[in-house]
Amino acid sequence: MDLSSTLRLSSNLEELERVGTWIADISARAGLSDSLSFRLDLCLVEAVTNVIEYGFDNSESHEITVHFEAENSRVRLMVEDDGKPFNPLDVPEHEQPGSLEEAQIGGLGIYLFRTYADECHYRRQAGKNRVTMILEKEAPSGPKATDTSSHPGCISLDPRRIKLLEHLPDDQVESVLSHCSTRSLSDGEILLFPGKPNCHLYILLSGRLRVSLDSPNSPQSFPVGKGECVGEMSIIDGSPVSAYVVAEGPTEVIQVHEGDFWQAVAKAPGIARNLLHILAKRMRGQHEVARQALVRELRLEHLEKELGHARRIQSGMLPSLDPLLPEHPQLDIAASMEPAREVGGDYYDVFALDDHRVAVAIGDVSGKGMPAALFMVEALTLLRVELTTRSSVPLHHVVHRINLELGRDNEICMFTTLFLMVVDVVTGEVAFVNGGHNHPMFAASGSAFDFLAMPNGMLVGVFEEAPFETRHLQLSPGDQLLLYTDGITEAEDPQRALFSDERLKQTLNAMGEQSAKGMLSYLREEVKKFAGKADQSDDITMVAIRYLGNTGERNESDDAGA
Amino acid sequence: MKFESKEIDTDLVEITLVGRLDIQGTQAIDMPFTSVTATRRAGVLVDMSGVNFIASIGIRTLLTNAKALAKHGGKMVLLNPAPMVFDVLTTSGVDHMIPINDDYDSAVADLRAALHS
Repeated sequence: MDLSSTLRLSSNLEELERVGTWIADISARAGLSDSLSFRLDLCLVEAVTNVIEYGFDNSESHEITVHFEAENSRVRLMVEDDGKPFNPLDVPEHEQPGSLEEAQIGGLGIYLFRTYADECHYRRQAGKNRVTMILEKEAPSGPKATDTSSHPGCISLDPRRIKLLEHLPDDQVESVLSHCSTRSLSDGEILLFPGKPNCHLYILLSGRLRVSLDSPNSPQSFPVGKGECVGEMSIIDGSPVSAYVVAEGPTEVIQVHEGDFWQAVAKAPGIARNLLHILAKRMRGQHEVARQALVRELRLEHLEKELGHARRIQSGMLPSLDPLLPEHPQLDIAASMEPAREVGGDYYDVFALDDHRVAVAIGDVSGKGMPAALFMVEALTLLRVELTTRSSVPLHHVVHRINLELGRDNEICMFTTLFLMVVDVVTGEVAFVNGGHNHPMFAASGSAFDFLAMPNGMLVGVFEEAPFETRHLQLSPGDQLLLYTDGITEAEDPQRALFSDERLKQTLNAMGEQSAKGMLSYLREEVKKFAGKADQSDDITMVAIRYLGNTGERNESDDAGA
Repeated sequence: MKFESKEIDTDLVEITLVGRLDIQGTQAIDMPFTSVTATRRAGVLVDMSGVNFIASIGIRTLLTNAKALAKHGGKMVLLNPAPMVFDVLTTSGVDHMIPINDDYDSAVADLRAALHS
């Protein structure tokens, strides 16, 4: 009997109540079975719920039109809405979770209507989504879902749920099933072993099967759903099984010998098509997983390469001449930068301005990776350019200009500390400016090391109006200076105690006579001893300076002091 | 949707649901269901025989409450769902997460055992 009916709903969840009554009414008029009516109800409820919940961005009411048509052997349901383009058939198959902990609650609705409808189609036309679901009327003698007889040919699972037999006419299904036997498995029974030849295809009827690659009891296994098959690869290509398939709990499977399978296919070619469909879907799924894993790996590789480049840029910019200032023997100066693995950003610079004067700088750029490396390049370039072109301007003006330039277009708000000094190696006069860096250590000849009093000064690159001050110091022969970054004072030992300012002071004062290079190697040793097994968490950067004065002639032993 | 609950023993509760576990039905029983299951360590037997329809929203409620119950060390068992409802439960894999039993005594025994382990 042909029957059609239309239901119009507005897009709010309360309207769903009308679905149940409408379906009950139609089912009665069209003489549909209880189970078909249930399936229709479920498909419609899920399809409409999906539209209401996800199809519209605003809270205005929209209209959803549902159309029902009964034909001879099947019924057709169409759900039409004017919401966002959305094809529920594109949503990846809902994975059956293995346990309560894993169970995710989303995506089930779409899975249910796709499973319970025998066919599902989607079309987007004239600004509307249209989902069509076709449900076959069951043959009156069709097996019921919970029939539990166990002799062969009478299956305790609705054959509609066996994917291999999907869309096959009933007589072919019966013919195929008559050649099958069922087999019961007990909990833990291993159905298939890797490497073993196999000539059966198995279809899960009830209970549970788990597939794992490495061992029968592997925690990394995935479940086989009811109606799904295992062993199909072996009967296709004749090669042995590639994984463990183990029963969990009492389990029942249909067992089909490969000879019978291929004969059945000859009689019902639809089976082959279904098998190809299953395999294709599986391949696509695996392909997708592999593709995503590859993308993740490539991204990681790229990131690490980038960090590597950044590192090389950073360390490549630092002067490494030995000695650093060959034309200025009045100053014994050495520098080192030991990078930590991940964090970075320390830099120093030492260069001559003219015959008399040299510039020494040390700093620490915030951040890491490419942006920090490029910021450092900019900072060091500005330093050199400003100092060499404005060599007679007060030092704090130079820092002010560097601050302005670095702060310009600085969207990600990078910044750096900076300690900058210019030494006249002939007179021993030093001018220095502090940009938020930690205080250097200074020891007048014959005296102990102590912290050098610093002028006010802010981090560089942040605040246009930041004030900077120049301070002066007069060096006499034998005076020593150590510039460093907090990689030293914040070096940790295995108990997470810090090296600290105080310990640095004490260590320097226990040092004895050392050249600049000697000072560096001594300090490196001391920090290493302190840190022990703990990882180096930050760059350790130091510049050691010993003023030899105008008469300074560097001894051979100084160079060998490293 | 109708909801009834009774304590059949210390920490053992029997819930009876009658009607449709669709959006309206779920909304109607959400509060009492959650208050019985999600707040304590108990064995909860859910008599499903009177449920004549279940949609994904109903499944979500069952799962959410079962999960919460499990976190407290309790357990849920579904008793005697009607054939089509049973079908939906197995299709969505719920039976792997919440045991389904058609025998009252063995379901109760299962819950008792779970509580005492």
